[in-house]
Amino acid sequence: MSAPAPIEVAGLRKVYRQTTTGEAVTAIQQLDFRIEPGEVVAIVGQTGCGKSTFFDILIGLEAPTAGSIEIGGRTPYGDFDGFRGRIATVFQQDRLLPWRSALDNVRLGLEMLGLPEAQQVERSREWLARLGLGDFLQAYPHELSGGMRQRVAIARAFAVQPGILLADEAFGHLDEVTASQLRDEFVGLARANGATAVLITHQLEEAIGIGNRILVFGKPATLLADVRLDGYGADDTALLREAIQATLQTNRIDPRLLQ
Amino acid sequence: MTPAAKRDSDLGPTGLAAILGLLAVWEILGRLDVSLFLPPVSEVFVAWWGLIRDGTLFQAGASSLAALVKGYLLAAVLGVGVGLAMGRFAVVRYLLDGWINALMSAPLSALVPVLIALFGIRDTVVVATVFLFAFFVIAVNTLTGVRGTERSLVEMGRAFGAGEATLFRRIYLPSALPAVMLGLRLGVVQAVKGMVVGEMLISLVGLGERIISYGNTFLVTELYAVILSVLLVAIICSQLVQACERALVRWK
Repeated sequence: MSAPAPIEVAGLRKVYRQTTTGEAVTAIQQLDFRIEPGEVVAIVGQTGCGKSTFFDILIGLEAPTAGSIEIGGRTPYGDFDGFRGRIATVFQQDRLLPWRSALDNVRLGLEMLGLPEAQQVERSREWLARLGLGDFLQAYPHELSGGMRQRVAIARAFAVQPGILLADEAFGHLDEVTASQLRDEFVGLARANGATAVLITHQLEEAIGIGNRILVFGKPATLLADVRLDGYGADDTALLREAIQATLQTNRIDPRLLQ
Repeated sequence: MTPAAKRDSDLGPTGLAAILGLLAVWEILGRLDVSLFLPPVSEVFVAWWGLIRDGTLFQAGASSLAALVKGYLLAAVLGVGVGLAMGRFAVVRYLLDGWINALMSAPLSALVPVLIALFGIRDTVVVATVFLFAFFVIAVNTLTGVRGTERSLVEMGRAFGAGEATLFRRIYLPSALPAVMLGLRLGVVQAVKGMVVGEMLISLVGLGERIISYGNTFLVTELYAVILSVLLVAIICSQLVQACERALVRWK
């Protein structure tokens, strides 16, 4: 895994100009926070609150309108090539290449890192096996179930051994049992590898089950609440919910924002 | 139905029955002597055998096939190349889109006299006609394939750090391949059309020239024999390209 580095978000703002109307749309109002290396963070917010835009800037696909995201002191947008292999994403849909086998899909990120072919195959095999797909190396995506496809996508993300792992509503389209199982595996693997993990979800319940910290985004994105979950047990869901509601109330925020 | 079953030949028992039925009707109508231009199909086959035995068909066919292969390969290479360039570079697309659309819907046979003026009455005209007939459908299908690449897959590639060249090679190109192969298959049928049209208009060589010659001299059975030969060439070419398609696109 690449060296862990903190994610520093300072005065971040993103305004889009709509291509059709030319109208300015604010996706991110203002964000300031810091994520320490190895933290597992859930970002919660309504659909369309700018969570995905935040990821796009974090990955370096978009430049901020104002402010910055720095990872270890460098900006992903300005140093796109330098960040290759340091951040990997699991998307809302599996986004596997339909013309590639499971093995070759996992290899994709490693090809971009320019690893020797034998090493690509070896490492892809390893990660697929770790995600329970050792018998499906040569299967094409259309031959796999939704849950299995998302497992391939998870293997693809972990195979590049990134310091930062992102999940963008990655488990929302699966049935509840599969979703929570995969989410737990994702977080478990991230922890085991000492990686920072940031997961986006629109459900507070899901966020509570994820990690040590919840960031609540408003719409357009501002930080409404920053709740640390350390000290709460796994069964303290009700307690946590109360704590989060209380935080929202002291900030005079309507808790219904999260329904 | 399994994918393997779906890939069996399109010509099932029903299709075969339809063809045999049509041949039977043709034979009966021919025997009833409905028209000079509808001889019994059995006589057509006899004439066909005659043309094969005296070498006419091979001589004309060889000339036709040479022009077909040259024109089609040129159209395939340039068509795919232009289609990819149009798909990848907006400038090329803006530059060529109008031309391609206009020429694609134009009656291309009308251009053959221009080709004759350009190249003289030579078999080069046939090659050029084959090219013209096949090029546009190949280019347009390739373009459609590149443009039809899922945005979400492109974004995924970017998120994994792909630059423009890598995106093109690893995502756009394989994604466009089925459409490219479809273009090549439609293109080869167009190419056979172009071959016959070109040969008929220059009336110098090939199967097209035989069609004109037999048509003008009322050798109707021979005429049908040549038409059936052209049909056979078109079917075989299309099947060949389809076989390549199946070998290359195994994931659909």
